[in-house]
Parts: sequence; structure tokens; C-alpha cells
Amino acid sequence: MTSSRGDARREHSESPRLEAVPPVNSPPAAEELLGRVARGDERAFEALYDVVAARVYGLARRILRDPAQAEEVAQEVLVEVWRTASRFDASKGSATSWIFTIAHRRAVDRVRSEQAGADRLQRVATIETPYDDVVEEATARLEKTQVRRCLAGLTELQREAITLAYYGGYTYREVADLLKTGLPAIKTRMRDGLIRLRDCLGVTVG
Amino acid sequence: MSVDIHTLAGAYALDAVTDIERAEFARHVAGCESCAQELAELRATVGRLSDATSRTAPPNLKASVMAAVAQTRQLPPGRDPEAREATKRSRGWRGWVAAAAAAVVLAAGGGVAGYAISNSRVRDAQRAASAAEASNAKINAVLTASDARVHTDRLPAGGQVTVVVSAKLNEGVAVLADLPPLANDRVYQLWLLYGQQAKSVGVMNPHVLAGTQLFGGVDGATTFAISAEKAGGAPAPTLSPVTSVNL
Repeated sequence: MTSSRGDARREHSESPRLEAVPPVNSPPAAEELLGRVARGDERAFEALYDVVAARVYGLARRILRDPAQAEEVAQEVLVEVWRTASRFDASKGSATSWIFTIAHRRAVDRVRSEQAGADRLQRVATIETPYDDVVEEATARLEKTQVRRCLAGLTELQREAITLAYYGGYTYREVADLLKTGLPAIKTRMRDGLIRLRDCLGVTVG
Repeated sequence: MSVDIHTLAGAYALDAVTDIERAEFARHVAGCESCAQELAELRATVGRLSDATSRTAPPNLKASVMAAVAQTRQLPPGRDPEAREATKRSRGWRGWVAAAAAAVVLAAGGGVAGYAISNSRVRDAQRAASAAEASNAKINAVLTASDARVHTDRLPAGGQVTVVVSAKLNEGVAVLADLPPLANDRVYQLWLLYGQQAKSVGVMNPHVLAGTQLFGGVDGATTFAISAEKAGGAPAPTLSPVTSVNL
């Protein structure tokens, strides 16, 4: 009688990424939803919206401050996800990574063009942690806690450089000005800080 | 940008770069496999940072998005990522200096009929004439040219000019930021100098202190210069330049 050992239950997704192992009846992964979105599936897009909207909106809100602009940018991002879903390349990273890359770029572009001419460097009174005024989300608390914990594990300069860049939308030159540090040091801190975050969060890319 | 470009990877993943730096780095990554891998990991890490600012979206956003989606055509599959990046940029190119609403017209024969991009919203830019689209594509072509050379200068009185030239395309792009304000009857004018000879490559609208200008005739040009002239521009620089950048 043939051993049934070959009949392996696949609990893990094909991806080698370190993510929490989903239960057997888990909702579809973002990659699967995005694949269906690329073929015009609006119901799949709605499900994808439910997965990412809070993070897209929350990021826009943090960067832009103004709720109306945050909403506009969030909408632009999500429509862009719909429009360009076929361009997502799963070999280059996860669906959520792709979506949040679009979201961050849009929010930063918007805040910079809104403030072109104004002295953006004067906006910063203190370097806030990114989550001072955020309404707690019932869901995704584990991931949020993990990011906060890993950010706390960086050196002060690494954390400040990354915080100003990511949540403030500043260029590395502006960050160097704000932190009164040289350009090479700022670039290094950003890269080293992200590498440390990567390891702390257990991020891998197939 | 002669410094080791790899040091920019973290800033790039954080979008903490200018559009010109972004184009340079993207061009580099396109030919560097190990960079692409590192960048993917850094981007995945950066993406997690949005976990920390997650916030319930307003209830009407979903309906709004679904309505917009119902009316939005999707792109067909295809196009490699580098071409995608180029297309994305040529469609909505905008630096933090100025949004792209380009309708650059350089009159033939020495007269000046060009005007720089004024600061306007991207939405307006996307409604601009097809001439603007063509201009954006040309601007993008210069920024991403394989032989593009970047020159940056800070003005003594404030502001910055960045000039990117491509000898192969015989074109250049000047990006101007935070220029000091001028008296009411004066405007900034842009020049290419060929030794002692000057050719105007654009006159900025009054009170416009930032912008992006595409120009040709790079071959043989020694200097890019900006001067302050009477409104409407001058056939040749009348005063010493506000700044000049050796090419």
C-alpha cells in the first residue's frame, strides 16, 4: 500500500515569506484578489479594499494631515490599484507591498506639491512618533504592535530619519537639514535602519 | 551624482528623493540585479510601516471608490516594469518643484515664446493639451537618458537650479526651485550660452518662482544661465546672470 506521506496538506502558501500561517479557511490572500482584480473582478476589488483601505487612508492621513485631502489621495491610490492591477509582478514582491508603495508615493507627491514654496522644514516642531494621534484599529493590532516594537529597536538617528522620511514625506536632504547631520550619514542611517527593521519584522521576498 | 549610488537605496525605498534622483536610481537599478533584490526587500519593509498608521477609512470612501472604479478602464497586461515606470512618469511627471502642466513652445529664430510650467495641481495637468503630454515624455526622456548629466547649483540669494542634459538627445531639462522674488515688472529668463553667444530657452511668467523647462540645442552649449529681465524677456541677457551652471 502506497504511503500517504506524499499527500501533504499544504497549510503554507507557496510563498517563502515569513507570515503568520493562515488557518485553513482563511480569506484569500491579497495576491489572489489582485490577480482577479486584474481581470476586472469588482467583487475581488471590494474584498481587497477591505484588506488595505485602513492602511492606505491612515498613511495618507498621517502624511497630509487634512482629512479631505487624505480621502482624495486614498481614493486616487485605490483607483490606481484597480487601473494598473495587471502590472503587479508577484516575483518582485507582495501585493500589499505593491499597493503601499503606490500609496506612499502618491501621498508624498501630494504633500510636496501642496507645500512647494512654503518652508517645509519649519513645519516640524518635534519629531513625532508616527502613531501619536492614531485611532486604534481593532484589527491588525498585532502587526501594528510589531512595527512599533521594531521601530523602537532602532537607534534614535535611524528611527528619526526613517520617521521623517516616511511619515513626513521629507527628502533625505531635508532630513539631513532637520537633524543637522551630514548627507552620507543620513543615507546610511536610512538604509541600515530599514535593514534592521527588515530583520526584526522577518520580511523576506521570494 | 558621482557618489556611490547604492547608498541611496534606503532613501529611494522611502521616497525620500527628488524626482531627478529617483530617475537616476531607477535607471541604475534596471541594470543591477543585486540592487533589485535589495530594493524589493527594502520596499517590503517600508510597506510594513503603514501598519503603524492604520486608521478606519471614512464610511463613504468605499462607495466613492467603487463608483470611480466602475468608470475606470484597466490597463491590459504587459509592458516590463522599466517601461511602466517611464510611462507612469511621462503621464504625470511632476517634481516637488512644480506640477507638470507643460505647454512649452519655443519659437523659431531667436524670439522668445516659451513659458515655464507654473505651479498647478496634477489634475489640471492631466487635462492639459496633448502638447503637454508630448513635452512630459520628452522631459522624461532626458531625465532617463543613459548619458544624462546632472548639474546642480544653489543660488546665493536662495533657490536652486538643477540642469539635466543629454548630449545624445541634444536636449536638456532645467528644474528651478524657490527662486527669490523679483520686482513687479521683472521676470526670470533662461539662457543657453555658447561661449559669448546667448540663446533664450524660456521666459518665466511673472511671479513664477519655480518651474521646469525643456530645451534643445545642447550641443556646443557651455553654460546654462538665469537672468532677471523686464516682463516679456529680452533678446539677450541685459544684466549679469542671477546664476550660471557650467555644462
